[in-house]
Amino acid sequence: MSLLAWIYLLTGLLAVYIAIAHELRVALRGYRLQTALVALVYLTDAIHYADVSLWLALIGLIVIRILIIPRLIGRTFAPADISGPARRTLFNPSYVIALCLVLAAFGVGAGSVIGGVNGPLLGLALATLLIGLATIFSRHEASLQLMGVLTADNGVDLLAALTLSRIPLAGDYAVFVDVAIAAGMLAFLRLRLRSYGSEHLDDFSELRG
Amino acid sequence: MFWIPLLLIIPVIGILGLLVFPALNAPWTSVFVTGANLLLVLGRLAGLYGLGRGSFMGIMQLNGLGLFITSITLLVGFTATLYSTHYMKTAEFRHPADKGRTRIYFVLILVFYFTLVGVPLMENVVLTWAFIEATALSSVLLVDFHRTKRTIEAAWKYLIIMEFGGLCALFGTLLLLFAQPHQAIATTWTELQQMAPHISHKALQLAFVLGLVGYGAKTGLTPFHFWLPDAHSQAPSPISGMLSGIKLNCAFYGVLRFLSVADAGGIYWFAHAALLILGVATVLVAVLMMISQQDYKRLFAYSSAENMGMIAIGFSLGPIGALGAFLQMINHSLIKSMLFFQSGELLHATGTTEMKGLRGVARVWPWAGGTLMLAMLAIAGAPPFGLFISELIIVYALFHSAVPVLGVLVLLLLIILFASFVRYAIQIGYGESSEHLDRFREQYGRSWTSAVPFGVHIALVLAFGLLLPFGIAALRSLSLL
Repeated sequence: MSLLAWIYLLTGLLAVYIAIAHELRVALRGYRLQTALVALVYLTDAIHYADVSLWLALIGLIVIRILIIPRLIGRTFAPADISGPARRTLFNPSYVIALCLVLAAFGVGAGSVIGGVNGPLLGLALATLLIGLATIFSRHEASLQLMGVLTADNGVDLLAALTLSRIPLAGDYAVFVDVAIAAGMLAFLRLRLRSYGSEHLDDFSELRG
Repeated sequence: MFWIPLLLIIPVIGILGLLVFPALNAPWTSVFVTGANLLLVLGRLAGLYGLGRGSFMGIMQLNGLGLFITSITLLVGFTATLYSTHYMKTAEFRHPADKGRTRIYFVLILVFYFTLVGVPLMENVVLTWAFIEATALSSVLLVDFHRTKRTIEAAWKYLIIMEFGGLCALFGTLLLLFAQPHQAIATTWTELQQMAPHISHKALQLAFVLGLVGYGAKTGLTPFHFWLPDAHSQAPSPISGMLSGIKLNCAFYGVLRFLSVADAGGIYWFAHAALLILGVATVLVAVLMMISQQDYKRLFAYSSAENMGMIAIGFSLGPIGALGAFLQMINHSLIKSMLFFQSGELLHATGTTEMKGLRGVARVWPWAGGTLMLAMLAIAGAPPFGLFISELIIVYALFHSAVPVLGVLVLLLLIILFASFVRYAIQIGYGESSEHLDRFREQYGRSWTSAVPFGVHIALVLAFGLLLPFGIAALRSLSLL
């Protein structure tokens, strides 16, 4: 297995780590590691193709995804929120791991069927996306749902890395900026939720029918 | 084509003007900006800048589909902004908490408008995604504009689903680029359609499913429709009108772009069957949810989901269905935004979105109650309004496409929907009015800025019902047929 495949696999495993994290602090640690791995993939691409636009994409990724977003989350979340355990869990972690395995199998299977040299890498990227999306729906704390969004986005970035030399830089930056704004919005809305004394979404169920 | 970038430059100037010059009148600056854009596109429709396919430096392009979506966006954007001038004046009077926030509201509405206008103009696949995503990001603060516990609940749900959809759609988009066999690849929609036959069917199918799920979630298709009633019911009424009348179309534009690539790539049956199933499921769920609603804004929001389902069905059925779907798009945008504008009038007049609080409104307050009932009949699909014709064409296409069982099911659901809306309209319009309705009516003032949007929309919807042959001729001239 190539070094790139190992990086993709580790990124997928970190998605599972984030999916079962009980504390935001743990999930944030997993996210930082995961994003650093994605940056490593971008770096290998930039070195391999020796293309200025790829270096600019790498800089964009590092600045927006590794520096700005975690800092934004760190600023809007009080230390107690970051280290405190989640109040209630929707699913037992064992079930979440089982779900992640099913999604990973589906992702890798789909990637292999589509084929090509990078088929398994595509499959791992898809698996990371699906695990991130599953995290959004299996969590009822606003902050952990936000981590699910960011994890899924790392899955998209893994696929973007495979097409990096093919898409215009403006498109790449449009994605980075959109995700940064989305993360900022979610962090802001989470503060608004907290102003009502809770970030557990079960406490916000007045809209029915 | 100088006028295409102007459609984006004018709102940007308006936004910067409002931010930099505090002396500028925010409501009327916004009306001027949206009005100028509307005049610009009317000039194009009248053939002032030529009738060819508009393009600007290869970044922006306006084909028939794009021009169609843009025209709806600019018209409803203009009437929503015009109505907002009246809505915000009343909102400041009714809700002291909103006092002093009018300027923020109009800046936000222009940012939202800017992103909506940008969607059909972008030719690059990733930039199209970025603009569709930006429509959600720019509207989430408007959903939470009234800053209550309910609005934040709706805004959170809205943004989470939008992000879910956005990530799925982006993965599907990148997959279309990844799966191309050559190093020099197609990154625009036009090129992608030409390249599609060279992409493997498996990759196309997976990309289409992700695109359909992603943009479908943003459109409110089942099973991701649940954000729609929450966001639409909690947003200020002009924003509900824009969300329903324009934003859903822009999200559906993403589905249509994926569909065109799927057709060109040779997975016609797979893509159309998937769209048909999702469309029928959406109509089914939305109609069932409409049967027992008590909140009229939620009722209208579920009706939006139902209409999106009908549009999905239409586009899955070939040329006849597509004609019905295009007409359904126009009619739904016009009627639904008008309904939300009227609901804003009634909300301000009565202070409630509960249907029982409006009982007797047509008798007590003929203008607001009567127009609401008229609009409810129009959205239910009653003749002679345009929606009757478009639904008829879609149902006909269902039978014509040898799916009579689904045709019967959809027809039955439309009958149930019609009966429900008539029941609600009678409940709202007649009966003993409550004391507070009389009291509010006395305090409430009318304005031409609330009457004109209604007049324009109802006239157009009637025209689409009564003058359809001329409408079809117009669509032909835009190369849509």
